[in-house]
Amino acid sequence: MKRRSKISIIVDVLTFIVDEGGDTLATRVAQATGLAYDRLIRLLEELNEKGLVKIDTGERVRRVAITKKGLTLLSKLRELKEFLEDLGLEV
Amino acid sequence: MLSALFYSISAFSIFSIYRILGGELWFRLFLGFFLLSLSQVSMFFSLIVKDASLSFSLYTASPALALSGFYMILTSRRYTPVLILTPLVLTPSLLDLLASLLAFILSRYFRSYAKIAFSILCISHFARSLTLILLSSQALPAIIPATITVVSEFLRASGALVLAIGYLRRLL
Repeated sequence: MKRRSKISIIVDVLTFIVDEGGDTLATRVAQATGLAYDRLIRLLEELNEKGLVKIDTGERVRRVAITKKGLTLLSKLRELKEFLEDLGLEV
Repeated sequence: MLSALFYSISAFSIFSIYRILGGELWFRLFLGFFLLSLSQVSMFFSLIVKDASLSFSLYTASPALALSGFYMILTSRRYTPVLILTPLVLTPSLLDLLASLLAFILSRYFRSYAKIAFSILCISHFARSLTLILLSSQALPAIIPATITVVSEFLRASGALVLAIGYLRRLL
């Protein structure tokens, strides 16, 4: 199986959150994107630090919501997708 | 100029992603397209300026900027084949060798501080040209090319310093 690039994983994660209405459970993101839960959490924490998502930690579940900045990035990456892929970057 | 505009738009679109995500890959890609844009601008002005010398300088700057741009784009990929990098190592080395030759010719025409400064620049560029070849061939321990680099950059700075000592008061 081909290894996905980090940027491709970020696009998948952000796209899934948008498809879920902008806010969903981290476990659902992990299932949908095929990422191990621990790895997903590390990625979400990184995206949270960059202000792309907001993690809401409840007592037992983690919810994640996309921010305005996250939507902007997703939109830019979608616009540039074809160009970037032609440059050899998997988006 | 339209091509320069396209490269600039590409560069700044990529830069907007870099601002959000960070990361060396995006910065290299931005810089690559920005350098290509500068290369096109340089080429355009080389065609429209009336002065032949200025035109030649800009014409020379254009491929050098393009080379730097291509290098940045190439190294923004995760895996860069070594064989592709070889001509990219040799080309700047040759450019330094040519710069050294021109600085030598100029130093023969100059006098006083200018002669000293351009002689130093000649040696500095010659040393730089050796550095890349030594580094890429791995013929000697890396410490030797690294030392030559430090010395050559010190010489280059010294060349400018000699010019400043000699002429800054007169230029201001």
